[in-house]
Amino acid sequence: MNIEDPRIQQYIDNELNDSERLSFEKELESHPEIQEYIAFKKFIIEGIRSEGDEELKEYIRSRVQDESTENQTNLWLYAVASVTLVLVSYFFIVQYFKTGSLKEASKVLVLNDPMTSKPDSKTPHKYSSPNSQTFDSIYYSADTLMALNDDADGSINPESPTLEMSSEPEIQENKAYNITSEIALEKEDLFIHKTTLVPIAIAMNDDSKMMRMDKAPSAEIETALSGNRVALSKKKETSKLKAPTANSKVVSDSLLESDDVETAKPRLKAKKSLEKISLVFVQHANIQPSIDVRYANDQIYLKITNLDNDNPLVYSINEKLYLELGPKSIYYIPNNNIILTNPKPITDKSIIKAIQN
Amino acid sequence: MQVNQYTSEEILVRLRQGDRDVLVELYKANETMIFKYIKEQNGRDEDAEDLLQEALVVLWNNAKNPHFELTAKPTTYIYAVVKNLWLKSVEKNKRLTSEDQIPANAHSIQQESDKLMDHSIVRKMLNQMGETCRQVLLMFYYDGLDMQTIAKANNFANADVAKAKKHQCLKELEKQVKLKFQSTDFFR
Repeated sequence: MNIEDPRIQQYIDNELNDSERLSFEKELESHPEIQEYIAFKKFIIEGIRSEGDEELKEYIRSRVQDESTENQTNLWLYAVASVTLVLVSYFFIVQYFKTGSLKEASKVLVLNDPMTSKPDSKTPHKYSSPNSQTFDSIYYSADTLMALNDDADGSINPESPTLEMSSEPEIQENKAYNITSEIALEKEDLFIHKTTLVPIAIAMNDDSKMMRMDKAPSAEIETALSGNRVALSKKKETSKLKAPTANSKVVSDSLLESDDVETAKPRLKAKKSLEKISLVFVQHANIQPSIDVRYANDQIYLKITNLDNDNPLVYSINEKLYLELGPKSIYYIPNNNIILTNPKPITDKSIIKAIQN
Repeated sequence: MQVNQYTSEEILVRLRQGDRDVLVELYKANETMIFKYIKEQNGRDEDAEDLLQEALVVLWNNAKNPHFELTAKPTTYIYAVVKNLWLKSVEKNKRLTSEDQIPANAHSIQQESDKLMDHSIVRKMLNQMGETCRQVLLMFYYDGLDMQTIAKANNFANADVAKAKKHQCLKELEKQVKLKFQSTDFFR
């Protein structure tokens, strides 16, 4: 027997059967150095088991600690939630005793959104269009519309049969109305919003290359054009643009829709005066979307009913008018009196591209 | 389901399946009682924590023995083990206190028989080995797993490969322990 004897490890690992073990132990009696070696190996194994014990204790310790931390966090959350509930209930009860109304009291629980809540109809107020952030709405009854005189900005056709009829004029007669915002009254579901636009003229040349004609391009764009034309046409950024207003739009700096910049024709100067167009927006339940086109008093009147409008603009392209209500809502405006019921946006890609650029 | 709602047999089954979480549940279920007992014995919270963990490890190791039976309720068993461990600890501290009075050159049989084997040396060397060796040795000598299971857990080809690996790792551990320390260092 020597220390390389495989029976030593088998003996330690209890892998010998009873007879083998007895035989080995008998043989072991005469080998004290092997006995010492076995004692050393057993010590190593006990050390391994000791490591296992420590690892298990650490596992228990860390798990208990983690769960304790989690419980403390939950306790805090419960405490905060309870306090919040108590405070909300307190304010609700106070509001209830104050107003005597559950509805009023429940306002404590709900944020008051000015866009959704209906204002008191008796009090005039400034009302913003839900569809557009740039225009204010003005309510007119039919009588008021007929009596209205927008001297500077055009007038509504008094003979238009499509205006809503109402027996009670609500607007104060001494109010002055213009294309900018005015105090409005809202009545039931009827909502009228009025503005006046100057069409933006775009000329399309023979090569279907569009050039924008505009009254007043910004000075920066003018300079850029006279300088590096190639760089400008490649640029996609539109810096230094004025914010669009109710009746004008500044041309973007990508004036030329073409890679072949050098062959583009020079810009045409815009006409000094273009026709003004008066738009009235109506929203009313149970009425089909429509565009009512009227020509009268050297003016064009558009009554747009139940169509979403987001920064409306009018374009004049090759002497045809187009009304843009949104990115995918461009409507052709005929040059005769007509009501377009359920109007469909145009699909002519060249026109759409000209307008969008 | 709370651990107190398990029977002793069910807890033993979970222990033998290697479910360590049952120990965590037993810890939480018996924490208050054990801490109270140790406090009454003028012990500290740290002592109570150590002894409770120690008792659960004793339960874990005993459960590996197929002949072990948990006849009492787990709470009763744990309480008894903690009590025993506490008394041993008190006894040891008393002895250490009284030994301060014994002259340095005196030699007592009691002192000799209480020499403790310092396994921290082996643990240190074990932790310095590769993770595979560490896991194989712990799985075999601590968890009592068979070679087939060890082979599967460590992605060995078969049980023979696992056995060879275990033999190789143990040899290496023995060599490292021998190199670092002399035999007298194993005793304190």
